Amino acid sequence: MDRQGLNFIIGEEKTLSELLCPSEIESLLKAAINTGADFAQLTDSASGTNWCCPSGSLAASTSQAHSQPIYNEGEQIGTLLLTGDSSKSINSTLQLLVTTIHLLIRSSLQRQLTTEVHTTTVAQSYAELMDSHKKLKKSEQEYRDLAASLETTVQQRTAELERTYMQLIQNEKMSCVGQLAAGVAHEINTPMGFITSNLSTLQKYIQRLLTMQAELEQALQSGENADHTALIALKKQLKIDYIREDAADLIDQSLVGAKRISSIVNDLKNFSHVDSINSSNLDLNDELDRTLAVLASKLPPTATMKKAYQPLPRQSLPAAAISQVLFNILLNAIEAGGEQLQLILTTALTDTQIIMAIHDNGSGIPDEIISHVFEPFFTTKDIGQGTGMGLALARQTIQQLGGKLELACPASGGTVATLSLPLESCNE
Amino acid sequence: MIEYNEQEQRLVLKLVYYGPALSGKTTNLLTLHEQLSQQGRGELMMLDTTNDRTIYFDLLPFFLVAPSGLKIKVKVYTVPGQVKHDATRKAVLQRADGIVFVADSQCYEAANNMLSFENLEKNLQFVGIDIDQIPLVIQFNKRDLSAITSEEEIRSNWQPTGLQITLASALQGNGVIETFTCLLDSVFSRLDARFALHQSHGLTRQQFIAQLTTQKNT
Repeated sequence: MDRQGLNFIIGEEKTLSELLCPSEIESLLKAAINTGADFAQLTDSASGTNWCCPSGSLAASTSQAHSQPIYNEGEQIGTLLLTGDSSKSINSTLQLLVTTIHLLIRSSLQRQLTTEVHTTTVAQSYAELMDSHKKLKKSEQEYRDLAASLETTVQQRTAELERTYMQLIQNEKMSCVGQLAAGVAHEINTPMGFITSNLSTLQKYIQRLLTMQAELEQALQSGENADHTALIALKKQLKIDYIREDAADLIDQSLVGAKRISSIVNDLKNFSHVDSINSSNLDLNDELDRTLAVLASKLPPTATMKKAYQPLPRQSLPAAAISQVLFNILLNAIEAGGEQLQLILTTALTDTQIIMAIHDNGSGIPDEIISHVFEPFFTTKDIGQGTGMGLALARQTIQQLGGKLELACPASGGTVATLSLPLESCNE
Repeated sequence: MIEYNEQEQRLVLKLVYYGPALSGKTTNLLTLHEQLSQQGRGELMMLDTTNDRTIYFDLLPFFLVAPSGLKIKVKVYTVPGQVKHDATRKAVLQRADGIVFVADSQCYEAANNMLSFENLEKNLQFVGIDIDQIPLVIQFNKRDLSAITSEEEIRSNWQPTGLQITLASALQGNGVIETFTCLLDSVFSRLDARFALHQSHGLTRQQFIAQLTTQKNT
């Protein structure tokens, strides 16, 4: 609190000279002379100041002196003295003057007090205003400092957020990889199973052929003495004729299996674009097929698929990112369709863009959530089953490439995911 | 706070009637003015009022001289009770030597009493007066009205504060001089402790109070 502002005191003690002005006193004293007094004098008790009329000090006079005290606030602050011949008229003049002076003092005091309180409150309000002004200035400064540091803080937080986001994207990729790995493992396990089984059968066959071979060599060495009947019996016992037929089949089957594994690995390699991290010239029809190939394990056996591809020009696109987008869309479509999955895959080429549409026969997306499906972390899957980032990242990827990814539920049923990408020639 | 001029042998005391709007602060002064002898006191000065509401303050001055010749001026002020005149209240409260808090006894005024008392505490702090040191009397006014807070309730609410409590109906002229006497008693204790009024100036507590509360001959 600013104590400077409190120096005003209301109702300070006042002397007579402070309450009356000389001109007032002068005209009062003159009035006394006019009504017959010889001499009139007012004395201020505090300072001893005398006001006289006529001026000069009280001369040795024969006339009688009459005086009366002047009060303020119950205390004598002055004396009024009149001299004159007529005692009676002087006394009444004195009474009149005293009353007048008291009235003057009273109104003067009232005026001064009013002024004082007014000045004081104004000064005080001013001091308070200045004080609050100072406080405001201080808080303004604080806000300015805060604003300045805010930018740095925001930058730090943004960087943190970006790091977290990159981490999320990485997580989503890993989640795709995880799903793929599970699917691929199954895909590879089936041919691997029968290849292993075929190999163990072939191993037994070779054992039997080697036994036959040994007998045949012995027979050769004994020449004419060989026991043909025994040999024929052994050949029948070892089912050599059957081996002759079956081995070829087993080898053919195994080769087919091996080829299938190699094709799966190839698909996976193509899908993941491990060879090309950066943009490469892609045929989006091929990309669609490749993604379907790696998702083969997810397809129910009864699934039907209709493809209506238009030949598309090769485009320079980030292959891995495109694969991931198609993977997410196709996986959603496959999961939506369930056991009776019917997929319609369409690609089309316009003057300015490539359009790909994936239409499933699922139950569609309820109205209340369709506006949320592209939001990060939005998922209808159980906890731990989906990151909720798949479609969000897919749309982000496509938008970064200048394209659009939209979902719609036509009245005919199911969901159509439409992906459009600008043609390169139009992009530049 | 007390204004003391040793050279002039002069002491000026400032007593303030504080309280919520329309609780009867001015009526207290009017009653004192009416009931006390004109001897040794000045006229009641009422600064501008509008519709009977004090907007500046009222002032009733007293003057007495101790046997030693020490002149003692006692100025009794009221403050405006309305919330908007807080600046005036602060100005009047400066350097106060004693306070009568005039509370309105009517039940529905209880909240206003509290608000005004909080305002007093705040303003005393503002002008640098310790509320625990200054003589302070609480007067519950308007006892003549119905629907008032009971005396038991008042005592149970305020006794714990250690403040002196008086009851009055200022319009009827009851309890006003008692309240003033109660305040003067506390004020004398403080004055005597500091200026040895009794020992050095020959002014006893009884004389001090009696001179300031001499009633008119009826």
